[in-house]
Formats: sequence, structure tokens, C-alpha cells
Amino acid sequence: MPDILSPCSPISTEPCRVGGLTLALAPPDETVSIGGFRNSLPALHEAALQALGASLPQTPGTATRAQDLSILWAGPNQWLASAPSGSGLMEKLQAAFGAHAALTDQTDSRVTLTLSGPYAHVIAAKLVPIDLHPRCFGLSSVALTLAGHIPVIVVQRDLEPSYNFIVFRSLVRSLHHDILAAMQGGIPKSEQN
Amino acid sequence: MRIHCPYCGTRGVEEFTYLGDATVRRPDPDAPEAAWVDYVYLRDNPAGPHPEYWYHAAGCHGWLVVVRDTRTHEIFSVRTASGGAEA
Repeated sequence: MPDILSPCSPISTEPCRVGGLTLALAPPDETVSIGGFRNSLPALHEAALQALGASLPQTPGTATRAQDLSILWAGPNQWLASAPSGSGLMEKLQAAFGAHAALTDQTDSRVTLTLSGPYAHVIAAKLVPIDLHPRCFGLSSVALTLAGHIPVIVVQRDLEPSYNFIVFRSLVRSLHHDILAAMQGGIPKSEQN
Repeated sequence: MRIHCPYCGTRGVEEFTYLGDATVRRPDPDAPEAAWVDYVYLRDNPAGPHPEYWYHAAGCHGWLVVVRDTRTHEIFSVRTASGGAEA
């Protein structure tokens, strides 16, 4: 009987602290990508509402939440659903709308880094080219963009502020290095008030 | 240069990849060889507004048709290549 390989953490699970800022690895969620079939989109949205109690966000750059399930807009007719480990997300989604969408397990493909603390938005803005002002980017916002040269999905987690950077697992070391360097660079005087 | 993606909003050009002329059309399978040579190899190089395919690689992965002035980089319109949203 072959040994079953279990994934190890791509970076240290110890949070890094610089001043009041914290950069930490988020707990590994179960993640499934949803690609809606073009001909059954209305049925897909209806089934999601019925079975999950959450809508698949139709407005680009938004997210919805229902209990511990979160659904991010991830492109035209594409979404990324995540729920805590052990919640059987794939089975739930298969049962809810397996006939209307391509479901792919992404649990091992992505890792989430959480940057939090006062001025976290200023640190994030050093890497991300989008406007993070609360007027443009709030709690239900999602952005697919670049952090430095690394493709990321940015989500604002709470108003502390704190941001989740969802990144491909193989790139998380580089992203962690970049964010840590941005934190160590300090908060520009022009941004302090 | 910044491109207004109909899905993601205005983003820097570093998020996009250029494919090329959005006006070429695939000839009929039994079209003369000259038409195929034209389709595969020959491209116009206009000075002025020109529809082009751009791919939002570091964003929503959407294919866009961008009408861009090749002299000034001014962008006149952006729509999805599938014919959906316009911005």
C-alpha cells in the first residue's frame, strides 16, 4: 500500500509582525472553482440560490457570503467558492448544480495570505495597482489583479483593515517575501494621519 | 496606457496581453490559396484607429476588442470579444 502524501505548508505558519502589521497564512479552506455552462446560466443561478442560500455574484468584482461559505466572482461566468476544511464543499456543489457548471477542486492550488493591522491598505497599495480606498474597494469587493508581478485575487476581509491575497501555491513564497518587504519599508509619512 | 476592461474596470496595460488584428476573418475552407495566405500571413499596419484583440491575462481572463489609435494609443472603445458588455 503506497503512502499517501499529505501537503506541507509552502511557507512558515508563524505569522510575521512588523510594527502593528501582521502577515499570516490563512487556514487552508476547501476551494472549488465554478465555471458556468453558457446554456444553463439561469438554471445555475437558480440552483445556487435554492441549494446554498447564496447567489453567485453577477456583478464583476463582488463576493457573496452565506454562513461559512464564500463565493467570489472570478471572471465572466466563473466563481471561486470556499468553505472551511472538512465541510465537503465539492459534494455540496456537485449536488446543487453539478449539471450546470464545471466544478474543479482548487484546494491544493491556492494559498491565502492575510495582511492586517493599521495602515494595511497603505502597505497593500505598494504592491497592488488598484484603488483600495473604501469608496472603491469595500467588504464585498474582489479584485483579480497583480501584486508586483504575481497574479492574485484580493479580498478585503474586514475594516481593521485586513486583506486576503489568494495566490497560486507555487508563488506564495515570492508574494510573502514581497509583502514582508513592503511592511518593513514602513508607512510613508504622506499616508500617516 | 490604460484599458477599461468591461468586467474589471480601468487597469494598466501590464495586466493585458496583445494578440493582434481583430478585423481578420477566416476564409471559407475552399477559398483560393491567396485568401489563405492573406489570412495567415498578411496584416495591415494602419496609422489610426484599429480594432485589436487584447487578453486580460492578469485579471478576469476575458478577451476584449479594443479600438486603439496606433499613433497616440488613444482608446476609443472596448468590448468583449464574445459580443457582451461594452465599456
